[in-house]
Amino acid sequence: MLQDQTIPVVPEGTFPPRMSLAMAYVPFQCWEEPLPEYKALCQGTVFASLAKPFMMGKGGRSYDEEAVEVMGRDGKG
Amino acid sequence: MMKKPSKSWDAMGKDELLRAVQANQFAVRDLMLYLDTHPTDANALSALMLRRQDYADAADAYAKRFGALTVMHVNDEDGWVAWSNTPWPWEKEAN
Repeated sequence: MLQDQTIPVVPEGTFPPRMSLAMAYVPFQCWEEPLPEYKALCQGTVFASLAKPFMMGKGGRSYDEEAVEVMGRDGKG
Repeated sequence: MMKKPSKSWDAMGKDELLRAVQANQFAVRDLMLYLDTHPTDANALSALMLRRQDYADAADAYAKRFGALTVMHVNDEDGWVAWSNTPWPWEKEAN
């Protein structure tokens, strides 16, 4: 990796030591305590880091009432 | 592995018990995906074992009181007739 390049601070071991330019990298997932199973079922994953609900209303769009009823105001169901 | 003190599955109502079966089964499958890419992660394996035990206990408790959920849980006292008479997955009462 070139000296002056900066990569975001990520947990150790989630990126290969040497990374070539012009390649896309997905950081390797590290273990984290799983969510309680009921919450995990609603979120669709046992890992909080992977729970990426669709954030309605961001970017100035108004909330879609029907979607809010299903997904809740924060999109977390 | 030390047997975790089992939750009081028998104190749960039918719907709550069914949710526990579903939630634990989901957790086992999700942890399985993680273990596929992290085969040596002991934390992940013990987390899976824990939820697999909860799934088994909850499913057994459910079968005893409300009828088997899968063919694996059909017991010989009730027999096959009871199994085929409980609501089928696509029937409203089953969900």
